[in-house]
Amino acid sequence: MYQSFTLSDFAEKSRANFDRFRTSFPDTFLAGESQNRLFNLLAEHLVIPKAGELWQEEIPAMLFGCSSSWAHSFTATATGLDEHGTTSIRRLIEFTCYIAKITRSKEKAKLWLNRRESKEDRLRFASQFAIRKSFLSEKYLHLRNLLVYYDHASDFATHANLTMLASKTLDLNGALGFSVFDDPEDVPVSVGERLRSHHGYLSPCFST
Amino acid sequence: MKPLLREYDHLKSQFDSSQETLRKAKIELDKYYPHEKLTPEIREVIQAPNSYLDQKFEDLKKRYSDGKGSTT
Repeated sequence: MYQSFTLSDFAEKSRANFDRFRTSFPDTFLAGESQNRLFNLLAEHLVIPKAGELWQEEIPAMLFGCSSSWAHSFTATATGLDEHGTTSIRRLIEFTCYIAKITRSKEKAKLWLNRRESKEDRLRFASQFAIRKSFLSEKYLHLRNLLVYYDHASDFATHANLTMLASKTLDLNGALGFSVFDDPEDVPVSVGERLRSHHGYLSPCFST
Repeated sequence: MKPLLREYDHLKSQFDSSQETLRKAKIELDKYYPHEKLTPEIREVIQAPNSYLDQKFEDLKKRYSDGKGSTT
């Protein structure tokens, strides 16, 4: 059971939720902006790849992927759409892991670029870039927390399973209902979770 | 290896100063969620995030070494 709505209602409520969060939790919002600025700096201004070095040339685009994923994640979570926020974080983790994988490897950078070129490339990519399996060695120890979040995001946000729906349930006088938006009480803690784990996403980019 | 980042020191200082905004956010959220309002699971994660993450990572590694792989 759930309440029907129009797409215009959805867009308007999204905006209202976001504005309410921003004004109710100004310091938390500012912390999100601060992290956003760091991702922007990384992605847009501060990277100078060496020409002809394929892995270096690919990294600015991948950092943009990190930056945009962070922005999507924070805004969606503050809006009360935590499953989208968490899914965006999962994508951010993918970019971060792939950056770690191609660093100093022309061959892996080429594979990341050409993974859909042939069946062989698809299989090689699936084997060499598999998150979580190909990142469990000591070499990627600095990514271990990200792998845990990735696992969590897969279970609770990204895929079409019951655990994803758990955060959307409502008690309607004893009957089970669903809401498109999260319980407003839960939104600040979800945003806090985004901020608490931000360090894990930025640090690997810094060490590239 | 030379870092790819130009103005690395500037970026690092921005990164360090962002910790202050996080500290203020934590104070704000702590006021909204007094300790007793949190579920035991969330309290556990907040009190010992590293041991929680370490345990989860070990579970994940075991799952893959057992050949079970992804749960999804």
